[in-house]
Amino acid sequence: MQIVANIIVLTSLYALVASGYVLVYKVSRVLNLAHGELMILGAYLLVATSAGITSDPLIAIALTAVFSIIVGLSVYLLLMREMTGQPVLAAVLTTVALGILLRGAMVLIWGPQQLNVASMLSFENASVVLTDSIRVSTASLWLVICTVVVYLGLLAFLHMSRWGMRMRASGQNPLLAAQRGINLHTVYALAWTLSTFSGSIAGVLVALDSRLDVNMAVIGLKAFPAALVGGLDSLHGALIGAGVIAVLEVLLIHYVNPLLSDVVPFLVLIAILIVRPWGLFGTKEELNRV
Amino acid sequence: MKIRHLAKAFTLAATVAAGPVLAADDEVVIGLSAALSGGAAGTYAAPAEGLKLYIDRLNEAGGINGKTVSLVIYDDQGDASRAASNGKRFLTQDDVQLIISVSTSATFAPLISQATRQGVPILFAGSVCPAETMPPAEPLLYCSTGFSSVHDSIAMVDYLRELDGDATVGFAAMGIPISRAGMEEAERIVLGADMKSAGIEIAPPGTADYTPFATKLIQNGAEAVLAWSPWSVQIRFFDALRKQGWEGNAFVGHLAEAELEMMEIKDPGLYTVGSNAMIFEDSKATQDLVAAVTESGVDLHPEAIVDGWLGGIVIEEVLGKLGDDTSAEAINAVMSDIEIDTRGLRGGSIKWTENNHFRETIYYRVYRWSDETGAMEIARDWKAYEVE
Amino acid sequence: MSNTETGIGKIAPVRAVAKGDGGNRTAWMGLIVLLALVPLVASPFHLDIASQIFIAAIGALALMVLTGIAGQISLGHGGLMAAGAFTTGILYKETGAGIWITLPASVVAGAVIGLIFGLPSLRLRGVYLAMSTLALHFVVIYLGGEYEFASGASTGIFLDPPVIFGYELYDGQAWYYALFLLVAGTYWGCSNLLNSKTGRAWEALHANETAAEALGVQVARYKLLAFVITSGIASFSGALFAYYQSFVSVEAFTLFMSIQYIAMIIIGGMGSLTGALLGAIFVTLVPYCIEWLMETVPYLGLDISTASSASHAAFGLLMILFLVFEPSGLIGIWKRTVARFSSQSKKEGVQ
Repeated sequence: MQIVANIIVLTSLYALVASGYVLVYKVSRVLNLAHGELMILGAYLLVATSAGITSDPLIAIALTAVFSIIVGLSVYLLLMREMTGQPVLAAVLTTVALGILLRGAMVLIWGPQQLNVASMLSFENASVVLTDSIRVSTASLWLVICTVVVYLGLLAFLHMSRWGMRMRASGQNPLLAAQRGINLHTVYALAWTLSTFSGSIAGVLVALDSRLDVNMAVIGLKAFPAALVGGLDSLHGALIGAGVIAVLEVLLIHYVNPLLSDVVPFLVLIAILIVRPWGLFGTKEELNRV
Repeated sequence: MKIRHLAKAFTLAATVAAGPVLAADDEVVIGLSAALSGGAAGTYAAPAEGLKLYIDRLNEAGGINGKTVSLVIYDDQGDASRAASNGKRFLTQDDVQLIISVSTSATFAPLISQATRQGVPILFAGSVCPAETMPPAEPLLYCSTGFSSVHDSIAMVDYLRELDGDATVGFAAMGIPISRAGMEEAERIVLGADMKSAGIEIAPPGTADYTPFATKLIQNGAEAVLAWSPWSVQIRFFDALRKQGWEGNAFVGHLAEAELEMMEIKDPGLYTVGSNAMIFEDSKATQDLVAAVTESGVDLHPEAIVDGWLGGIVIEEVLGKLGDDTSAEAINAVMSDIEIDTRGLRGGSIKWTENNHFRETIYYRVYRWSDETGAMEIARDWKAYEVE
Repeated sequence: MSNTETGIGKIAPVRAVAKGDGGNRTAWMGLIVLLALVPLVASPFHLDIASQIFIAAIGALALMVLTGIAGQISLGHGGLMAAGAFTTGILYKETGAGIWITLPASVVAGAVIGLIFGLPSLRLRGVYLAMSTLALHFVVIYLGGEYEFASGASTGIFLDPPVIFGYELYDGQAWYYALFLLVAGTYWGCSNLLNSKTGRAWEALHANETAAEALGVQVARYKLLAFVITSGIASFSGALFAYYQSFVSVEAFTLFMSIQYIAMIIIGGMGSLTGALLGAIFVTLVPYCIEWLMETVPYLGLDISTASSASHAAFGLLMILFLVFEPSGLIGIWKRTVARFSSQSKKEGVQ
């Protein structure tokens, strides 16, 4: 039964990270390959706030959330805005470059050693007994809760709020949306901000649960098949894609060969993309415009 | 036009690199390839700095035997290709007489293949000892650290049996060849000693969550877990086990980060098995080391540099025995027949012979956190193991 | 359409520079003579850097043809190089085969892998395709790791220097000339290919796949051909890497390597073979330049342990600067410079 809990926790992690890919892709058709680094940056921001500004964990986390919003906004305003109107691939490669830049900068600032964030914040990551045979850590529990909240919030936002509608409209047809008076730059900035925010939540919780070093940005890459399997422009698709990949990974670790858990998600990704290139829940006409 | 431009670009590129280091007569040139940055720097940067500090102090004191050391340091980032180009640079440009490696096992292959061809000895002073240094040892390759996947495993299992002779043992490895080999060996020893194995769990290098791996070990009934891999992986395995309420003992390799981390984790069920002394003991040897670090004003944790310091001691002793001939050949000749006093930082001496470039006898100590005293403690003092 | 479809090849006519008119030919010949003289004056360290550049150049040429010309994106370039290196390493270790067997075998292995991983390209485009090539990387590294572990080569597979016509290729100068010839050969081969029917078909399908098909280009065939040929070349450069560095291990082929190759073709200038060469030079030199900067400008406060993170950061920054401000890459800058100079000299001529 512990396996089920593990699958749920891993699904939440991948889903939370994948939501960041989807948000940006949905509105601007840009695949943000720096998402893993932005996610880890969120965790490092927590380290910085708790060391430099306040020792109260809750205030530190709240401040980190604010900072991550500023980061997301600046990434768009300072960098990605320059890439609007450029070919999509150039924008994607820009995010690759941003990832490398962030990685180097984070090591320059915080050093290469692994940081024990939980102990820095005196957050006790206690084991929570759910049933006799199921235990999860406090941070994992928060991860699941946050993922649910973020997804509910995002879905409500996209489908019910005015700006959410505008975001969807811009994603479906930027030209038409612009003609209707939607400011595309605001919409894109919003998408980048939300994406960085949700990524930072994932980064903070992962860091609280295990530890923190720059190599953890690779989680972004591992959440990648999840976003693609579900369909890059579908938020609920990302959730289901995350589930597929997490089930696969945990079962491979448990019953087959743990080393395959690195390889198989990508093979599944290819298989699904060959059958349904737009992913399980993606929009079909997508492809013609990519 | 084009030619001139390109030529300009090329000379510009050519001036980028540093000029060759020229050796004076009484100077021994030693190349140090270390993971000063990159993912593995958390483990290797400090020992490398420690080694440099030791050598700097030697030089300031007028050198050894009238000889000073010129230490050429290149960063290899724990990356094989960078190490390869460092090796080429040492051998073809700096004309080093000895190479020291304080880096990941990934960097060994390129260094070994180049240095052995040129007849320049290599001292592995930071990471695991390659199998080539064990008997029957390859010429030119020496190891001063206490990390050996095979011997560490023997010592771990031995101590585990002393504690609990019929525990079911699980093994946690990382998906790199040397860690897997170590844990396979440990499992063989466990099975050979009529103990039960809960299997080996191998986590790929980019693992996001160690929980599923830990779950499998727990469900296979692991009462004790052995881990032998980079510290960041060992400790995440351990965290993941504890998070699921696992209460067994874990035995992990004693890496550079060990002491500082264990004082933070404060878990009496976490044992490190290794051959270095820890700083908290406050012995004569560790006091000297701490004093030297404090005096230097360098921002280093003494706990993290022990292996580098020992590497410095090895250099000092080797050069002390070196005659007027300071060639790579002569250095190799001294190294292949020497006994080095580890001055209390290890259980015994480092003794190299023609056939054995690791140790004839290796001593292991076990450390853990003690809740009673609220401090680190020696769980078992030095115990000798013969190296065959 | 070409831009929105794959997002590359914005500056398509760049390649015209490389094709060359009469004046360029003499320039090229002069350059070759100059490069041939380099080993007489360069230090071994500089020769090593040059050889690294040559190996990178062969890989970059392959990626340029695949991505810059044929418009197929690949993030699996490091994996292909690993495949070539491992084919050579394993053949050498298991059978003791010489370079005349290992190199062709590596090319064939690369071509076969290219065929397999080119298949998704028939269905996928753009970023989706890029992601499917990521799988290639993980699969090759997984298999290589399994071999290393199973064969007990826990620190990697060692290779002796290759023997060619009874001569052992070990010395830095010998490598320099050998690799130099191979780069020249690869360049020559690629540019001939681009001027052939195949090259034109690639350009057509890069510009607009649907239109190319309507014009009678067999899209599937030429796409796969692009994958097969370039993968063979990439694998070849991986095998050269293995021989040159005398070892093979999975740890030498990281995802970052694939990204570096992409950086080479971006910085060099998409669509231009000469750009690939410039990109290979530039990207290989960046870390050395940063190191050198740190040694000569100590007040920057950067020490050796921050060098690699600083060079990472600088590398990312450079890529961004090129993408934002100079999308046509080094070759674009080059072209403009040449144009300015020649217009100046023309003016002078008139006067």
